[in-house]
Amino acid sequence: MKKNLLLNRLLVGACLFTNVLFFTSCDNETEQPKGTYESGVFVVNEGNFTKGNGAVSFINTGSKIIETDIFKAVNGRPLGDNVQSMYIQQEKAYVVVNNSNKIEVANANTFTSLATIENLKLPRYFTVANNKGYVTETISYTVANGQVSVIDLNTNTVIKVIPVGLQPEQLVTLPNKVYVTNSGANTVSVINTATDAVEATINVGDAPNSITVDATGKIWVLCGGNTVYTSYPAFDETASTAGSLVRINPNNNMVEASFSFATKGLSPADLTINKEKNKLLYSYAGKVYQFNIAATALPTTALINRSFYGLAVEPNTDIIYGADAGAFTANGKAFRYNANGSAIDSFTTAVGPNGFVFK
Amino acid sequence: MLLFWAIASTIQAQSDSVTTKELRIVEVFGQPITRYAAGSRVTTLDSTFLKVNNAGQLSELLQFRVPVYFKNYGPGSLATAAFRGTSASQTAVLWHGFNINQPTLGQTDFSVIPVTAFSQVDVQYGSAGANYGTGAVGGAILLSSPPSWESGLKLRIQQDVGAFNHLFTNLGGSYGTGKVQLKTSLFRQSAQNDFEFINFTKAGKPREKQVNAATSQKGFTQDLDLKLGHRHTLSFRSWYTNSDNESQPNMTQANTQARRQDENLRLMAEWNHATDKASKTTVRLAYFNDYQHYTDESNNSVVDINTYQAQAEHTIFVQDKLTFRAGAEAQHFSGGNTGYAQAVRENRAAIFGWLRYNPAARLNLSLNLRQGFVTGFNPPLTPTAGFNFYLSDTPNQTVILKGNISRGYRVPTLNDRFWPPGNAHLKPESSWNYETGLQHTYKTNHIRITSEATVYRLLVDNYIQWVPAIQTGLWSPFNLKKVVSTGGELSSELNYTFLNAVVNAGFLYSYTRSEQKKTYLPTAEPLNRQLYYVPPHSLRGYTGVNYAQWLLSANVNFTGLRYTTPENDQWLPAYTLLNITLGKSIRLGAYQFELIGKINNATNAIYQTLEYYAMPQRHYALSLRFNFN
Repeated sequence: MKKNLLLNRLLVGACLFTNVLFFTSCDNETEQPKGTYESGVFVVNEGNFTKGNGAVSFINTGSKIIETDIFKAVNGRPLGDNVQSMYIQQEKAYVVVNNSNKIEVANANTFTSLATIENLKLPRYFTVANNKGYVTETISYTVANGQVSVIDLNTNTVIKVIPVGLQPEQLVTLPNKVYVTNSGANTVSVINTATDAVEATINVGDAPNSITVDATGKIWVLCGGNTVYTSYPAFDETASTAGSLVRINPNNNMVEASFSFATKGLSPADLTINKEKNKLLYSYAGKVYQFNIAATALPTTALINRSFYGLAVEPNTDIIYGADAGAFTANGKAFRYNANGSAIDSFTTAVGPNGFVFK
Repeated sequence: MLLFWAIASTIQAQSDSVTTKELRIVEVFGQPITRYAAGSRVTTLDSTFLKVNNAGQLSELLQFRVPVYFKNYGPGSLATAAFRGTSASQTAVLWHGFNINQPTLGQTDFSVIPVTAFSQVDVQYGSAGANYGTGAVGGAILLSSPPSWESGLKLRIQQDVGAFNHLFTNLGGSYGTGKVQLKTSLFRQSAQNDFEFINFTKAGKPREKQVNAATSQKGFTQDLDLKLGHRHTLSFRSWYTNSDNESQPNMTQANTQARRQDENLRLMAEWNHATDKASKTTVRLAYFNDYQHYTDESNNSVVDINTYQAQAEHTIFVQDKLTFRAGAEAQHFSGGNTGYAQAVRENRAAIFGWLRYNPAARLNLSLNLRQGFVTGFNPPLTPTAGFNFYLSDTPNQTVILKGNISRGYRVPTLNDRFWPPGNAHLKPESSWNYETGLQHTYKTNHIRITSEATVYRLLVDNYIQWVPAIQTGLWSPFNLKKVVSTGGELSSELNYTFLNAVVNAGFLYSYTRSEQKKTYLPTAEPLNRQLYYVPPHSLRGYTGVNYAQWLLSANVNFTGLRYTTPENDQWLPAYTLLNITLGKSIRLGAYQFELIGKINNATNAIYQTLEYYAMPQRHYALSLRFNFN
């Protein structure tokens, strides 16, 4: 296993080396790969808070080899503290490093560091719309509202700051729009990317934590609900709210449908969508469920009987990826399943895997 | 080591008037509690070394003399100590017999333990639950300031200046009549700690100035010792420190303006009563208040705990051969932590019996027992059995074979118990320590060489660790694993007196293999790998020369590579620290002036004890001192 990796590395290295010496370009030869990480799956690993051991792992789905910490391996320095998420746009990887208040920009094929977007305030998720970057920021856990910073992707600097709701989390893009879940509140903020201002705020359930768009263009928001503990594990039944799955019509920004989860005190999370974009997947009560977008009720039977810290579906193969962060005391694991929920295999990642990015 | 000379001479002294002779022996040879530690490795820190380096934190001193691993979150920042491959919570720190580990976290932050607060430091390796109670799993650090009963007035004024705006001022004085002794020390310390370091976690590896690492401390100690007749002594001791320290962010972390204010007040009273020959009674009372206020951009938390303690013990001496001590102690905690659901109260108690028996001239035995009581969390019965056997005992040479089996325990901390969600099924940690060693002493009028080799095996079960609960993801304490640490320590010390010159030199090497052997939850932490942040190899070396009022000394700390992951696939490289001290004192009658210069990290090493927490490279300090009498 290691030998293959090393060989790969040497080939890339040789290519770079020749480039420098003879000014030939490897990229011109069409058979040549663009880099070690041209095709495969990136695993985002949070690491342990304040230990600076966040990492991005790479699964070569062809050779089934996983490399644990590619940023450190390529650039000789750690990625940072608490790696929250990653986004790929035009062969650039934007890695959001929460407790380092930065986004590391790397070549998505070689993972060579290109730039660092600094001075963010507890950044969470990133997306690109209208050739601009949008990053959600908690700011701190004592402020009344979070913000979305707009980033000039040429200079990698913040050009505008948009106040949104409390603890903004995931975001999705539609033409001229960015939808932001405010996970500390019960709202979704709609940003007009022409004006970079909030043009609407949609009320959803408590603690919207994840968001996706289906084949019909409808937006789905998964809300975790609010659990008010009295003394654990007991919680206040009346003050607490159950989680919910909400559908938004982006044409009028109205909530069209809302499905409430049966049990309070358990938070559904990690909403994701399949290849055909007609089935939603999410984690709930230590299991993974699948919901057909045409269904009229939440499913009661689980697709996968396992608890994950991150969940995603590979858009070309429909293979389901589950991240098991375990107890955060050691390296985690990535599990793969077929679309029907049957297990395929698993890989050892870095500490605290929470998500996947496919390429 | 010195201890064994203490033992030999103490047996005689104990049967006499305790108030004079024994206290003299205490002053010279160390805490009497270590008398019940036959077969254990004990180190008493050189008092000159303590005095010369009194401007720093205890961690800065201990790291050059004992193979304890300190995790430093920056200079002057949080520093925790771990022995023999165990964790910081598994180290007991006692002040005159009272455990001063923070009741909430169960560990001591050595950055808020100023060296001026005590005059003696003893270090015992290995488990010793019967002697020191909870926390003495990997080892124990014993702090004390035994009275000297010297007559007359003494005054001390000291001002230090150092790199990164380090300032230290100490005013001290003592007055004694032989029956009354009053001792006071006030100190103030501050440092900006804006040292330069290479931030190798950033693109281009820029040289940066450390931010948010300033420290500020002040405090006092006040001791009053009284002799009431020749059978009673009464002591009152108080110790107050007030720290306001910024928390240094590591190289990867954003500066969140983290700041910690600590106030620790410790008050105690001790009464000793001795009968002419056969017995001694000691009663101690203490009140501690530990207050901590932590703030950063997202947090604001307060810990405020009152601890009330009482200890009583009675010692019987039988025919010089047998010493038996029985005692009991009680503790009451009250107070709270912003993170707890409500204010908490907890009572703990323990009873113990210690036996020291010398069946033959060449054999010392000790047998100790302790049973602790904590509602719902009763620790196991904790025995210790040890021996010293003099293989050779001549005026010039002694060779002692030592052996010890001891149990240790650690009761869950207040955070373990009261931070929601908690874990109602938590059990105390329990350890067994097996060790044996050989100690050799050679001495003539001018020379003294003491060497000791120890091997040990230390088994810690029900090791408590916080991990996220499987269903909810909420972090809670669990009895996670069983850890076995095996290793050894080899040390040698030379003291040589030659034409008014005093030379001393020594080293201490330790090897530690500490592994997880069993896991009680599926944590993915691999078995049979070296625990992270446990250096397999550690070496301490020191040498000093005193001649014609000059002092030159060097202290070395070599720490081998430490894995930073449980998989052992990443590590921090080995480092060597060298501190050099040069001093000169001038005496004019009763007045003495001293000037001491120090080069810290003389080899300019770039090192970290905790990954990504920058430490300063070479820096300097100067100390000017004035002593009266």
